[in-house]
Amino acid sequence: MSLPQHAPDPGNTEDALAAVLALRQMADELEARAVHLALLRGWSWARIAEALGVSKQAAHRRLSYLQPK
Amino acid sequence: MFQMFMRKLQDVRTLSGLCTVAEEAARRLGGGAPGSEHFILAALELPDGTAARAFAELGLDAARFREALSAQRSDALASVGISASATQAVQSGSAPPAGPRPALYEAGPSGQSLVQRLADARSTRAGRSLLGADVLLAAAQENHTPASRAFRTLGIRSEQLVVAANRSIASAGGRGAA
Repeated sequence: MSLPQHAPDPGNTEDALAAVLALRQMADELEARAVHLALLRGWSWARIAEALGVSKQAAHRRLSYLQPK
Repeated sequence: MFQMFMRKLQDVRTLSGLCTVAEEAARRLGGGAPGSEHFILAALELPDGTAARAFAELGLDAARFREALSAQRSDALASVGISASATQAVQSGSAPPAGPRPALYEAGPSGQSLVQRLADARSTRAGRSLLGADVLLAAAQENHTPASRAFRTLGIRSEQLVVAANRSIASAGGRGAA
């Protein structure tokens, strides 16, 4: 990749906020992969919700599309 | 009167096309609601070609823009000590299903802001159709979105984007934009 390397500085406001956004997006992607894997391995929604620190209802509402067919 | 109606109808079609393609781009690039960066990618595919032409003038194309989006994201994660490949750490054997298709067009906040700016700029487009380059003009007003960071990574300033977009629109006008 020929793009210039920019080393963001977390002490810099702009970069810190960009890091928050990137982390949030990464967390969402990781959540989708991890929950999909858990469902493939037979985890119940109650167990997944406990691991995610949310209610079973919230987990199912947000993530039920990941249920393997 | 009839012409104005037909133009508005075409604008509605253009906008709904943009929303659909932006949504697909967002889902392909990791899910989540479409942001302004996905609307830019969608604009590059519009048949009027004005966004693609503006990009070409700046030495850009969709692939380079996607690369820059990925680079600014990796940079942001690296600044807090996280490697961008961390999401690959969880191997589930098959890729997780794509997120559900929203019932209505549900853009993310930066996507919604961009669409609002397109609507607000209607008076400046007096007499002509909504074109792909208008999406670039709307995006050029951003300062802190992934798209604006991607442009900065590519060494493109907002002013350059505005000039290229306006030039592309002007040259389309001569040929009667769709």
